[in-house]
Amino acid sequence: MKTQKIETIRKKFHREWLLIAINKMDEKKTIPLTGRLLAHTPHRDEIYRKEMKYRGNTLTVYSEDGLPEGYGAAFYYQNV
Amino acid sequence: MAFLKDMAQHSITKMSKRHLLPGFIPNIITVYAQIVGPKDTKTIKVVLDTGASYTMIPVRKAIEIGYDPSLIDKKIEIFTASGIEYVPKITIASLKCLGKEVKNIEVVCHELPPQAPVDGLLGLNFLVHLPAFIEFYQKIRLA
Repeated sequence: MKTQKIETIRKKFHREWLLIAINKMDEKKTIPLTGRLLAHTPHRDEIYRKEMKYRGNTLTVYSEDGLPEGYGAAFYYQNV
Repeated sequence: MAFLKDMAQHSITKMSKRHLLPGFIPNIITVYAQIVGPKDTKTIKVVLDTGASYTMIPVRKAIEIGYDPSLIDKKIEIFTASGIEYVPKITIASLKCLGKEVKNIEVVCHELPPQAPVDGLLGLNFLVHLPAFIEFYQKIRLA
């Protein structure tokens, strides 16, 4: 698979987890710019398993931004 | 000495459309984060979470960058959809995000629910190092 912009790779998939070998990072913003797709699957666990075969700076990212329509999220911690 | 018990709760809840924020406001704010350990560096996407005391990364990512959370004695209590769990808290070599690097930062190792479109949470223990967040915090306290 050839090197492409990360956002271009993400747009090719619908509701899938992607494993990407990063080629170029914007270090000032900590944003991966380009990479090479190594694997894709709808399941996050599976992408973690596949990632174990690869050394170096790889990225796991979901193809969609935000939550699916109709979902909301609540994340919090507190110290008591 | 004050006794601190760390608690966390996270849930993904199905909501009706009328509860969603207007379209121009994102329903979550996600950013890329680079986690660095003695063995490797990995990049993940995390939710910016001002309600989380600690940053959270998946257990498998901690292992990949060179830590073994199962050997860690420091555990914190968190509340999840499936009940109370005790999860390890480790100190990783560095966390880079939004152009800022914080070295020797504590992170909680835990998996978010499978529906979450991210790998982890970016909590207050990182956010307090960002000038933009400090300014935001000062402004909302004065509002």
